[in-house]
Amino acid sequence: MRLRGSSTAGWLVGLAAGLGVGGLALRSADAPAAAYTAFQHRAWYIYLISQYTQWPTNTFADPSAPFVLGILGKDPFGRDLDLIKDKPIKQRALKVLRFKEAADITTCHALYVADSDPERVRAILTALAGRPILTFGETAPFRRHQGIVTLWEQPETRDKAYLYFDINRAAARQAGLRISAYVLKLARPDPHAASPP
Amino acid sequence: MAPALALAGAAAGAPAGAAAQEAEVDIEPPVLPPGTPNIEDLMSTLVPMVTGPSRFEQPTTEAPSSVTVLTADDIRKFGHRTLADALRTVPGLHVSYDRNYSFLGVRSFNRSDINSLNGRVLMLVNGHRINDNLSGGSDVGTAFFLDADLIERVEVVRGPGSVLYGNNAFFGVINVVTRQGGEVRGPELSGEYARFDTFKGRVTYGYRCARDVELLLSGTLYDSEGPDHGSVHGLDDDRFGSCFGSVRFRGLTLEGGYLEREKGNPTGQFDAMANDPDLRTVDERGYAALKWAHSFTNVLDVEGRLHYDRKDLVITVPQFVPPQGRTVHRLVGVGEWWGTEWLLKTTLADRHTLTLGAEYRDDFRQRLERPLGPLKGGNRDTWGVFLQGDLVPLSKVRLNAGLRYDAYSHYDPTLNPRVALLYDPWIGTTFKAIYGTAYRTPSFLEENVAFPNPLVPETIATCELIWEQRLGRHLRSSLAGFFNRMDDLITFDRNVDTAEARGIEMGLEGLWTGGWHGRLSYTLQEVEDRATNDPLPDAPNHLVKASLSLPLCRNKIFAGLDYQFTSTRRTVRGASLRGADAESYSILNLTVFSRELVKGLEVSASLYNLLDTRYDDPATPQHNEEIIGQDGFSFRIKAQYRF
Repeated sequence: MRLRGSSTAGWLVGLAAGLGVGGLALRSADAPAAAYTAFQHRAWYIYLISQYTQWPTNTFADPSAPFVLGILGKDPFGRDLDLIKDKPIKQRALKVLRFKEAADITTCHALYVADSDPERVRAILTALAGRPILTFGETAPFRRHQGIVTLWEQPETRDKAYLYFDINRAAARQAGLRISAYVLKLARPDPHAASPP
Repeated sequence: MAPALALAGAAAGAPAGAAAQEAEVDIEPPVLPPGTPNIEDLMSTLVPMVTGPSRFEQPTTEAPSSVTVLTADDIRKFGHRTLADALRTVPGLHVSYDRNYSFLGVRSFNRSDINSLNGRVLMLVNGHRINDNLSGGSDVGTAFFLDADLIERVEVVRGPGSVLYGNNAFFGVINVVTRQGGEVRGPELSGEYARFDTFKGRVTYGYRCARDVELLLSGTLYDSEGPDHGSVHGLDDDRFGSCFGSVRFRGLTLEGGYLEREKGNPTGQFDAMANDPDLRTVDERGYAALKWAHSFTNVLDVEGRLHYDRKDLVITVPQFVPPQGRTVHRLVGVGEWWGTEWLLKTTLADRHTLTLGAEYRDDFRQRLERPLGPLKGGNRDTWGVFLQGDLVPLSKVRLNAGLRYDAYSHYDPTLNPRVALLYDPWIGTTFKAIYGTAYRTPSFLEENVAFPNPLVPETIATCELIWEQRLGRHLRSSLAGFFNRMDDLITFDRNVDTAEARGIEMGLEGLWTGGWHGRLSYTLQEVEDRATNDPLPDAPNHLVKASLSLPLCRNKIFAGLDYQFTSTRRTVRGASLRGADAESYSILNLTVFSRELVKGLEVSASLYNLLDTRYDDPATPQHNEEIIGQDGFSFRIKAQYRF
């Protein structure tokens, strides 16, 4: 019944150390990416996921039509959007429009839903259902009412988190959008999204 | 279809079946301007947290209890070796160690007794009940089921939890959430060396494919010679081997693990002489659980669980019995049980949630072979149902109310309510008022000690008022007052005690950019026997905890300083005799932790009990000693490498 831990544990520690040192020799010490603010980070996500998404061919009125990114509700980005504002998306100039409500949305290709009121989020997503708009949001109602890209935080420390995203494929299909397999593979479901009490 | 679309093959790694037929058609990779990060970079960069307005996971201010959350980051930065180390830093908790098991005291109540080993706190690993069916509890030290390195988060929920969990959730619930395969991603190796010839090695492998398959496998070996006691060497040895694994396919998860720990016991427990090499304990614990979670049209969440559990306990006890002289007895306990749990959760009008749960458990094997008494066996079964509602009648008011009914084959049925009213008068302020009851059934070991006296379940009623307040951008504070009334407390072989505990808990937590993080708490508490007005044993009146994590080199090197003060505690016999006390003590621990100095490598060095404080914990009723000496200064160095 006695564990023969002593020698095995020592062996294991030795192995760990050996492999660690071996690994060190193979890897260079590269610094992590430069820090962005929380909303610059979100801006990059919007920019990149849009780049890896295919809209239906007739979505853009003409070859010079801009790519319209809408912000619905109170804009949390402020100047953080400056990071991407001069960068074309889908080889089109990026134009940022701010909307108060869903009825205001005329032309729009990607939309960040900043509203968090459950009733309004439901109304917004119902109104947009089926339109080729890549929706981004971060709230439970957004996820529940078929928002396409849900960004979510995985806390790492008390004030820092990894920002991940989940993709509702059915909603994307319904909107006529094709999202690259590269992005779909990186999507992560929020493990807390269906947690018990 | 756009001409740019090109088939991406069968999307390597896509799950088999219907989902694979989904049109995973790849588009031509966009040409990105230089300086653009890629998505993997974004996913592996820490960013300041923006509190999500309505995440499913309940923020602690919305929980109908006083909650403390410790993270994997805390465990690394403060060098916690076991769950017990981590729990020592939690406001209102203290841990006593009898050189075999670590006993957890909650809000000044700690009854160190091997027969009810921490059975007044419910311990969960990923929602699975770790309390066994022999002692009704679990160790929180080296015999705790899970290696501390695998912990992602520890949620300490104070107050009665029987409304959701039934038996054992008497003073609170500790839910340990493990790391996941997708987070580990690949092999990870860890090795550590510590004072008293202590080695620990761990190999972990994590894998995640698309979003459907996730795997985590981990094995740990630990071996410690332990400190010398007087001139005696190697009688306080501690070794364990454990493994844990989890595999998930979509909503279906199979999870399980096994731990075997063997501990030398240098004390004079069970009438043994101190420093007898034959006084040893072997604990084994294993379980396998199949969990299924599904969300139906985002309206109804269902979770089901089926599990099998086993606990083995062997204690060898040398004793002097006059005619035969010295003999070594073996006490062998075996417990096996299976059970199933179901949860239905629905959200109404996007604001109210209702949870309905049911549980059945069959303790089909409970055996104890004692040296001097007859062979004892038992089997019990139990079932319970509960309903809990989380209602938001007004925008600033939240009402959480629930009721659980449990029926036992051996005891009277019991009904336990909890009502919590939460009020947020303005942003940053939350008031909570909570009332609830809970119970604990006598453990199988206690019943054996008491036999033929019948025992009945212990009960507790708790009232608690909490004020949580944000102070500016960086600080948050909390103030809690609690009152517990306990009836039918089991002392050794009888339900004799009634006790009352009251206290105030104050906490302050600060978070600053750059990785500064500090916590300070003070608990003033007392617990006394209602019949005699005497304090109970191992009940410190004052607990102070302070910790500070500060970055020494941006995001790479951190120092973690952690201070704990525990005031004087009566010993088990001293409580009635007003005799010997375990003196108050202060402990200071320091850890320097580095990560990503070299990609994938984490290194830490910890100094425990830096001031080499000599202190003792009260012994259990089975000890000849009144107090048990604790370790002085010790250290640990640790390296972890992720490939």
